[in-house]
Amino acid sequence: MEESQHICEESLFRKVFQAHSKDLYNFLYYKYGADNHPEDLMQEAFAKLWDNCKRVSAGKARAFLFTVANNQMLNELAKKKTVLNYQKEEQVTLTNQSPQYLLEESEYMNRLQQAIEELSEEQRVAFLLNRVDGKKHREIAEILGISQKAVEKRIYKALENLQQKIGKI
Amino acid sequence: MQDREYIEKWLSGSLTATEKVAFEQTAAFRNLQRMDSALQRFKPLPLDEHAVFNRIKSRRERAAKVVSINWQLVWRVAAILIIGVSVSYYFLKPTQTSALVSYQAATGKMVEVTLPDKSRVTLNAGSSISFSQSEWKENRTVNLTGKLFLKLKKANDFRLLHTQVRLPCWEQNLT
Repeated sequence: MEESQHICEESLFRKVFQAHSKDLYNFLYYKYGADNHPEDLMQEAFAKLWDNCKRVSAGKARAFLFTVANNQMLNELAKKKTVLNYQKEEQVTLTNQSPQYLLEESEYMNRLQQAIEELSEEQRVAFLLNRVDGKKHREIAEILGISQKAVEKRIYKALENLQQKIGKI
Repeated sequence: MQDREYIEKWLSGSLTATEKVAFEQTAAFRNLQRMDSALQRFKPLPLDEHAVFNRIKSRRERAAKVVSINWQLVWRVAAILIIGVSVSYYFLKPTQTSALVSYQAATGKMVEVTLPDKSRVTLNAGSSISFSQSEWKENRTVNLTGKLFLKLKKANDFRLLHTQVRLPCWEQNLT
């Protein structure tokens, strides 16, 4: 795909969509949580990109998408608590574990979930992009439009907060 | 090295091999490792990207359709307006241009009139004239009832239509 090509053409736009949709979705999910329809917000950002396809080249599409996503203002009244669900472990792997371990494990997960949801939006997004999606500090800085140093700081602060809240189990 | 320094380096993936070995012996690392593996379970469930793409596409097609219908409407309205204006202009023009300007002198009063070519007309009491102002250049005709005194700038093509058959001699020169 030519970097400078316009992306109005459906086949080109589909490529752009496939290249960035997962990252954008995860970002919106970490930012707003499962209950604030990150899927719809992502759809919105791509629709906006297509509307502006004549002015945005393929190379600039990613920056455009994340700028739109960063600026998406949810109606404050409609905005729901950020909820991040974790995947429950499958039964098969659980059967071998002692009840004691299972109880501890589920308690740990619940505390971790609560601690993550209580993080500030800034810390949570940077931290999860790094730890869950494995994004480099440089990539996160690009996505958020901040310096690498600031990313480092946010991630470390988030980690500190989480460890404090979970305590040492 | 302090725990904090280790953790920061671990977070940015910049631990050297020996630092890594040392760090992995610590209790802090075991805590981090546990948290890290637990965090993997917070990955959002995979998304049906195909469905999202199709929704974007169908929305765009709907929007495009609305726009094209609007343009059709605009052209239709414009065409109707153009036809309407030209037809009404065609029909209205003759009535507008044939509109006559008229002057009347009341009984016992004389009236002075200047024609479009600056010719002077003095209307006798009780007389009246009318002429077409807009078509003066093509049609220098004055309709007269009664009597007048004319001082013409230019006699060419000048016509005086009198409601009476008999004209005074000085007027005859001009017809």
